[in-house]
Amino acid sequence: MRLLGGELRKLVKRPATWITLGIFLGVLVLLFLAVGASYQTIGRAPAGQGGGPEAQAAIRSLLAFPGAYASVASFIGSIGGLFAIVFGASAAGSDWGWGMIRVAVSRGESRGRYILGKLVAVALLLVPGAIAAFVVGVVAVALAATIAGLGTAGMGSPDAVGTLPWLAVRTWLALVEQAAIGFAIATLARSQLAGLGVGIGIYFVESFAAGFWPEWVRYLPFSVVTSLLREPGTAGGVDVNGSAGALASTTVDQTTALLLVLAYLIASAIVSAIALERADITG
Amino acid sequence: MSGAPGPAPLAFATRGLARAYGTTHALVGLDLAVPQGVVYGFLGPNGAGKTTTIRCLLGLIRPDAGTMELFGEPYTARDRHRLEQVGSLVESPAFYPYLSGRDNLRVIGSTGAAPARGRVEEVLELVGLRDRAGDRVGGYSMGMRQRLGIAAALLSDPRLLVLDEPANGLDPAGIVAMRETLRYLAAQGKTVFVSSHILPEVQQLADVVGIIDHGRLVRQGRLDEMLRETGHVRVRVLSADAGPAREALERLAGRDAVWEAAGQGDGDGWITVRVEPSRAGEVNRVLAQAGIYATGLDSGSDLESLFLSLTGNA
Repeated sequence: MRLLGGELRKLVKRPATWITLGIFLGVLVLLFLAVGASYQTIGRAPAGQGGGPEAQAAIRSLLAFPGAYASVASFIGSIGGLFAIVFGASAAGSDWGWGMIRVAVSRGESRGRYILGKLVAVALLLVPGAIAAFVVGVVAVALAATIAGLGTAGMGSPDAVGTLPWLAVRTWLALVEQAAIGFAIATLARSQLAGLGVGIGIYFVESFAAGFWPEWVRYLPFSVVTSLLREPGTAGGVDVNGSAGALASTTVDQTTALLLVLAYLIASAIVSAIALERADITG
Repeated sequence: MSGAPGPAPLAFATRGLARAYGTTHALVGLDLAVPQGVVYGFLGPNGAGKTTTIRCLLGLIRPDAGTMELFGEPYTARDRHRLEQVGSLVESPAFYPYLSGRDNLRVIGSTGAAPARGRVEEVLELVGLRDRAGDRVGGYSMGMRQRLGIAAALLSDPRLLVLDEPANGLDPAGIVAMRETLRYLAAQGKTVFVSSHILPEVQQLADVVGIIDHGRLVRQGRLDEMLRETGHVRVRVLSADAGPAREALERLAGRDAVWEAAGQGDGDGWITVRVEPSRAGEVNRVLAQAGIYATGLDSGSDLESLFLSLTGNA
């Protein structure tokens, strides 16, 4: 608990934590408001120019409640995943940059315990982060729906509200998995910058590869997040590029997605622990 | 019945310690013995293997060969938890720049051995940083960081304190305060292992000295005994008297123990005699008996001369 308290103190007091969250919330609000504001314009535009009733229907599926809850979760899990990579990589990598791994290890702290404690602290701090993003996202999507003239009917639907706790848990797990991947890369590379660069690079390479090998890519760590956050029986959700689209060929069922997300999370933790255990700490 | 006193218990010892970085051999069979309760000065030229030795001790790297002991018990990578008895400041002090000095000590204290309640304030007071403890470390001067590093090393009240260049960045008052603190800690029975390039500082501080070069120990022992061997008396005589003075002094101390410094262009020259500093009066008397009167005389012992002669950098 002492170790966890120390790790939480570091993360909470670090300006980068709040800057990352602030930028993400800003992007979240701006994107939903932009989508809401474009709804009427898109409806009037010809289909050949990306407008028309079909495009409007796609926007409606994003903004209209109760399906909008899934849209928000999916957005947090996908675009928010980029920010989670940044958060995870900076938590692990900065300790190398500032020489703090050396300080902890030379005090007799277990290397495995230290790195896992740090990862648990990242995961714990993502709880309020995910809740804040979800609340802000729901408010933003409600505003966007109002601007679009769709209203917020269905927002208080008991069925939809009943699914929110499980949706929130899945969203959090999606963020933790992606943060853990950034964390593991930064630990392996012993660099915050490498963790950010490589993590985000893999994220985009994976979404690019989905266009060529969807059958395989759907099992990869960032694609399974899309499957995990997709509400069964709905077309809701956005893919890792943040665009609504046909997801059937690039998704797996939710149970498989959950198991894969947990597997990637555990694998990232193990890789981080082994990497630190074997590392020569010379910086 | 009382037996003869055994050898002093050791805080830290290595036997045949070896470590290479690629093709560079940093340590080649290092045998160190650091007695408990002393200030141990660990000296060596750049690249001699000092930092590598400290990294092995602190579990930051694994030696390729050799054994280590910590407080008389074998010490391997599996025993890293025993570092809870060791406080250290290695290379440069490391901190989170966005946290205050106090918060840094708190998060450092969340690893390894738990510090006693109130210990953070105690060590801040000890290093004279209590007034600035609430400021972000990013705004600290190098000297303040160094003092905070010493505070962090003392946080868990360690039995062995390992300090790498502790005087770095400290002003003269800070150096004096640090020296007093380390002497105080040694007097409390703690072992202080100091790696430093500042030889006069080590000479004032250390009880025992180990000198390494090219990854091997070249000399280890009590500093006062070493200095006795390097003691000297220097006399200044008129250049006209230099020849007879030298002959007289060679009769006293032997041909190899006398050498003349190059003239300073003012008509006088210095002659150095390698004898214990306490024999300065005898040297003066020998000159007077030869009818030569010194225009200057000093005596002393010099760790720097010993260091340079042992490491081949003289």
